Amino acid sequence: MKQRTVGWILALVTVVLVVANQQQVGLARDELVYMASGDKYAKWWRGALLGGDATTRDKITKSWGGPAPTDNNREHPPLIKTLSGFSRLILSDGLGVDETTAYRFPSALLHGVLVLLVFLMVLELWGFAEAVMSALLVMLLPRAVFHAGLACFDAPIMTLWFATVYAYWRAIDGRKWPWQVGIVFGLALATKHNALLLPIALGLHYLVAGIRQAGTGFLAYRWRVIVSMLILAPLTFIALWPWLWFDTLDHVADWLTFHLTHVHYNFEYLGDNWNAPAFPWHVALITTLFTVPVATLAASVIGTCTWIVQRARFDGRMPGLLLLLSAATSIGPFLLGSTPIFGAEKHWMPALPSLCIAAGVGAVWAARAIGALIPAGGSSASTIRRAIAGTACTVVVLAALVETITAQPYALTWYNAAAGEAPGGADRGMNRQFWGVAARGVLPVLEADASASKTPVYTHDAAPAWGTYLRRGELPSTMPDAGHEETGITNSQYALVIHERHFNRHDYLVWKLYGTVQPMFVLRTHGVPIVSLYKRPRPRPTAEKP
Amino acid sequence: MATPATRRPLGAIPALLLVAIAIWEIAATRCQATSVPGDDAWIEASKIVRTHHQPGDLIVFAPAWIDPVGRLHLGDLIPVETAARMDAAKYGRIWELSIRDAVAPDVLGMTATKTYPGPVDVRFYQRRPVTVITELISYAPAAGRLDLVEVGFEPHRCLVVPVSPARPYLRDLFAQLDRLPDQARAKLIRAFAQLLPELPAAAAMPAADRDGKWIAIHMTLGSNLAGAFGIADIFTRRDERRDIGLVVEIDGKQVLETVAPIDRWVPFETPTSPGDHQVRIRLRWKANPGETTGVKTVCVNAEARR
Repeated sequence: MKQRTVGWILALVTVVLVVANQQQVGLARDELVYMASGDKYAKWWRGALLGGDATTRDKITKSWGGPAPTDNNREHPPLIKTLSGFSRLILSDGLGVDETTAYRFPSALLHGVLVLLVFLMVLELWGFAEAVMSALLVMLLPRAVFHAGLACFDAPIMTLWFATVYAYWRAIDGRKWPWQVGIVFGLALATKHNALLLPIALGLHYLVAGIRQAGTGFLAYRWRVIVSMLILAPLTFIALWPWLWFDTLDHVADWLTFHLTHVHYNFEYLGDNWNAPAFPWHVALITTLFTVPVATLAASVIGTCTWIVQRARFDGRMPGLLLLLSAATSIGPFLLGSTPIFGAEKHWMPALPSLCIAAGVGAVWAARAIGALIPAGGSSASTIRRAIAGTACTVVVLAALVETITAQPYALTWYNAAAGEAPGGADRGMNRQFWGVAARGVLPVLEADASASKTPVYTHDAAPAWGTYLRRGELPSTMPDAGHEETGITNSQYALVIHERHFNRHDYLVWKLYGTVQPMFVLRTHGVPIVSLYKRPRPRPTAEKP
Repeated sequence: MATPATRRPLGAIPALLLVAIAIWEIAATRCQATSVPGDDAWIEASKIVRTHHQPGDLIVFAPAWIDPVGRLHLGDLIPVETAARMDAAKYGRIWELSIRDAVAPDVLGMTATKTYPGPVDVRFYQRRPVTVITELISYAPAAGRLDLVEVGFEPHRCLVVPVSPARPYLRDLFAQLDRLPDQARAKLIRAFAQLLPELPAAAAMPAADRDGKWIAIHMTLGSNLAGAFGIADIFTRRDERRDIGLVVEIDGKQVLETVAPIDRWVPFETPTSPGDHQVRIRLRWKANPGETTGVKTVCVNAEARR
């Protein structure tokens, strides 16, 4: 079997892992918006490609834009939404795969691509063992597995970011037509606005590598790469986003302004609720230390040292510096104290491939170092060394695997063993969750308690998902969403409260309006409460009967 | 390419450390993830409390994040008013159910009279409670509404008072404007609003509230007046982040001044002489010229204690 085939197998396993895992994950508030937009985008493309009049300004606006900043979700680039829309058309409408899985499949597939790209880069740089380890450690990032299973952009941008870094690294080998880097960077831009930071990493690397290779003539060092990124990337980006086909500068400005002036959502960190700058400078560092398996972190430290010591083995393309700059650029803005911190690690996940590559290198170095303790001589010494080294690598992978299994399906509540897992995260006042995903866990309890009469539910942060849950039959139709805030609670027979610190007020509204502080059920992950479900003590009389 | 590995035993120390960390992580992950007691332990602990519980007892849970589970098992013994208490001083009998060696803030510094160790520790505290003669919310003055709201991410039943910003820099201007007939006053306010957009809203406030919101009541006091206050509503706290100040006057004499930052429920206390008194509480925050900011929703309560 060729070594590269192993990379493909690992990618396939990753896709299967993510697709299987997301079956247990509830619907996230934001992904419902992206799913709806994806349907529109895919429908529009189908119309346009079949030769209709879809490309008129009015038709484009109807599907892709509008006067308000969030019309048709025009505040986010379209690539993943479009892929989700097509995936639904093909996998769900065409092949009968369940709708949610179909929407989420492109993100899962891209996660497999990430594992493959990491494998291929490390294979070229270090060797087979390091490539396998790096790929496995990327695959077994608990929070990343969770995010890759959503029809959102956070895992895909990690893939497209790294794909751009990898394509750039290959492109600066002196090839004549480095078109790939421009195209891939365009795809990254069409995925999420994080991609706008990539030129910082690549530019700095080009500067250092160029000066080292060409001195004062550094600009001409690999000038075709620059041209590719300056021309092909914007063309790809614009081609994929019809909203930019007219009033391009205005629409790009709108997109950027939305993110530069983004509201600060509430986020709990080390016991405090944060919703305005200045944020602690260490949020990104501590959160990363608490959300990546400890063994992976430790291996990355060893790997970084190994890389520095053995840097002479690499050519002038300086891959170590490139990966370092990639990670630093991704995470750097979150050290400023002014960049919104809500969403935590999902916003700087593009830093993780670099970390896992270092970890793969470190783990293999460590395994060999332990194996080398066996004295040479005898025919079995080499076999024993290999067995010991293999065992050492397996233990590191097992640690990541155990963390990944433990984290699901409520991975946003999970923290690593150094933090004390979910209970330790709660003790330390780390963010409990977001997006209302956990609400799905109380649906079986509600269903079991359902009666024939209509019993509306105050659905809190799960309100956007409620219609889908009802449509999928996870709840009886007698349990519709009761509405928002006090009016919703007043109209409800059941109320659920998703536990985030700033959502405590919803508990208190329920207490006040139900006259009790006692929930009927508390959903927990590893003992940590994530959703409380209340039942009105005395049912309000209802005029309507089913 | 293969990575050259070290053959020196010392060089293998970080490698062995990595393996040790990985093995520890495998074990620790399972241990920590199963370290929180389940419902069986809570049922056992609840039985202890239910056996000895008396009406009026306070039940608290520690750490705070386990509170929903505690209420799941003992919520029927916790009236809403008790859950939304100002503080725990008036409770003489307190049950604390604790996991992970946590201590509830309400019993900090106290020594348990009885302890029932278990996966969920049950501790019983007994003390001489304060006697409340009367409380601010029972007077329900026109200054606000009686409600249960979130302050500092905790529930509090209190007098909820909308407080507009004080604008001392407008004092002289209002002194002149208030002398004018209504029509001329309104005209001038409209004209000045071009320069001071906050003026119309400030002028619409009752003159007595311009330098802070006053709550004035006749209250029967005991040996001290204890209270607490803070800013309700997480979203207005996010958008308007200044502290709120509180001043207490008794019979026209200022006896106390303190501030509550956002996200905090701040207690206050002052000695008093028993008897009927005029109590005035001022809530105040200041806005700057040119700012057209909204009101802060302030939650305040106070108890006259014997």
